[in-house]
Amino acid sequence: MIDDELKAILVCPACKGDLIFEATRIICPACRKAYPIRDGIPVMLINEAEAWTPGA
Amino acid sequence: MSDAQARRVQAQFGQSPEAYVASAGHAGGADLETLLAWGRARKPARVLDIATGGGHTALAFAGLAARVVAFDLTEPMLRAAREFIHGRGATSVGFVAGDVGALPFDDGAFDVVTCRIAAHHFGEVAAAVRQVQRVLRRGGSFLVQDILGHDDPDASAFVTEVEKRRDPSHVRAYRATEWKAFLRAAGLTVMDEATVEKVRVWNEWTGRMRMAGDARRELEAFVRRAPERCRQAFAFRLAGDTIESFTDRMILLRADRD
Repeated sequence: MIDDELKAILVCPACKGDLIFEATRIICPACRKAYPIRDGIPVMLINEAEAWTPGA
Repeated sequence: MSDAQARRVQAQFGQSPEAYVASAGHAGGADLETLLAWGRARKPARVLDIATGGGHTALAFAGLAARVVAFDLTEPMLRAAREFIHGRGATSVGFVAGDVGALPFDDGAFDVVTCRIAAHHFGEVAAAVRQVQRVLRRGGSFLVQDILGHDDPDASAFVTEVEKRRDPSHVRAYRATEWKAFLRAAGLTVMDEATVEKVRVWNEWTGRMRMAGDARRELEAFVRRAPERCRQAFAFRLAGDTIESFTDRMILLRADRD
């Protein structure tokens, strides 16, 4: 659903840093936040992100 | 934008996304043709359509750019736009949910950014324009269209009240001088400018936002008792107790990143 060209230009809305793409979420390691992917749509809203811990 | 304003927009557009897909006023006309002509001349490879709504602008630009990203605050609106755009056979459009005040795209990622009939919902237009400038490449174009604010303060206050009663997520429309100040402050230079008139058929306009009967009757009473010159400023057409239509103006601007 999220193709490579879109992945190449998506950044964290908070820190504008690079992201890690998983099947159901998009992680900003710098902010330690995970943004949900719902119905194939990345939801890049800061207040929708969940806390993320490395290795979790 | 503020969380409160974001919730107002999501509540308003989440309840009637299909109505925006079906809306003739949003589907286009001379206004969209003008933006397309400005955009086509820039030969863009990648276009971002912010506050895509029903997706008409994103679909139109998919015809002239290899890649379009349709962006909106409201997930149900995006899903409706995706269904509409895929139904028209366009496959080059991606969909992303987010806030115009914090765009989740890399600096300089886009050749053209479009924003059509939406900025009057933004909590902070200046912040949104700064984000647009950031994601545009140098020399890239911001193509913006919105309801034009009226120069007469009384007429402006009147129509803002009409808009807010119909749609609580309406903030206000900006005058041409205000738009140019937002753009200039962000480092964007106005290159093209146009205005178009849009006739709003009352039943369709109030129906799209699913106004309850009482609220609509109160709004109609508010319009009828407003000063004549305020109604005349927007060419309100009344027939007895019925409001048939009014006309507002849209400003269209192309501003290039310095």
